[in-house]
Amino acid sequence: MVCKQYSERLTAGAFGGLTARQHADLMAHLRGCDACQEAYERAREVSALVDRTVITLVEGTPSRGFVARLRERLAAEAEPARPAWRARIATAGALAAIGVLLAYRFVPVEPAPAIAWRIEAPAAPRIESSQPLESSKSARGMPRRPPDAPKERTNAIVRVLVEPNQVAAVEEFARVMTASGENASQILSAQQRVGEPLEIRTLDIPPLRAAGGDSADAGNDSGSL
Amino acid sequence: MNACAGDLPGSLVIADASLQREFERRLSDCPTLAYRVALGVLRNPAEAEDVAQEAMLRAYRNFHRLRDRDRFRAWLVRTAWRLALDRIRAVGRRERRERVAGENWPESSVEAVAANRELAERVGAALDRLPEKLRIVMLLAAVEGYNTHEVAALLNLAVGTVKSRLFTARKRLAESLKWSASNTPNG
Repeated sequence: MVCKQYSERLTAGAFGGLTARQHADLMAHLRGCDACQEAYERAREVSALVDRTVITLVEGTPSRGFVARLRERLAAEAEPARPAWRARIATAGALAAIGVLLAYRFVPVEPAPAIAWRIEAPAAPRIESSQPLESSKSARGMPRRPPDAPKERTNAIVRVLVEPNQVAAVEEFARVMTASGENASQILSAQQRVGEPLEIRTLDIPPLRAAGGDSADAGNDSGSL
Repeated sequence: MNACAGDLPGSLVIADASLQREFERRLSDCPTLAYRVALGVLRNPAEAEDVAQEAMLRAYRNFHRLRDRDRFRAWLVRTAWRLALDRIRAVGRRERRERVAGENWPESSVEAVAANRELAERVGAALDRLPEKLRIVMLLAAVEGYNTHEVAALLNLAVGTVKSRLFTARKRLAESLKWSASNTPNG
């Protein structure tokens, strides 16, 4: 049986918890006490077993490729860093590109209109003639505007001058457009019905030479088609 | 210990040549130290390597800030220790212990392996339960066979403090083996 006054010191001595002086005192006691000596030796064995077991838990070295992998990562780390503003610009650019792609992909786009153009009601062409359009002679007899007089054209009305032989075709065109004419296919069908291609010009275009040797002046805003 | 030194190819790209040489010298042995510290916490070689890599990377990033280069090893130990603790907290301890039980044991007889595994599991579990300040001194004493003075230097502690903590840690681990002085035949 271990001595009562040394029982605590036996463990502390075996586990390295004594000061040098305390340890020397314990050793002196052990030299004269077989029971305490035996208990001390057992405690030392347990302490050594604990140490060995902990060592086995931390034994080992990294695998052979460890340093090579580490070098690769270190080399990547060592690449010169881009200035902050460049990084910001790059980030902003990337975000913008992503935004455009997302918008293109997800934002609903209105379907393209069936026709490429649209004629608003006020802009519907009006056939202008000083005489009834059926009268081919009257078109040439339109009164001329003085050169310094303001133009009469407005944004609301498009004036169209036509050759007498095309009045019927233009009338048909105007009828279609006024009635429901905002569909290109209807215009096409109107063209096909009249059998002639239509060409419509506003008053701004230079006047064409009139038939019968009556040439239009440069300042004359009337013309012939 | 320096098992990796032969693997060193090429040289690092680092702005300061003297810093580069200095870090190169540490690269030859310090990864093992970081690895073993991490292994002591994680007990999983693959995870310990990951932690050691990360610890070395952090050391590299901050090497130029280290005024006292002699403290590099202590710095690395603390970094690896913290990283390993963070990782083990991220994964449940129980799951980890089940996964890695016996991975590091040398093969011998079936009985010896079983006995070693049981012993290691008990000590390992007790080690996990130790407070961090006790566990780190126990691990460092085991990792490199450091004596109390070396552990004290690494952790920047007084020698007496390390000695006291080592004693407490060993005693608690021994208790995990159901041992006490009273178990002795004469006790």
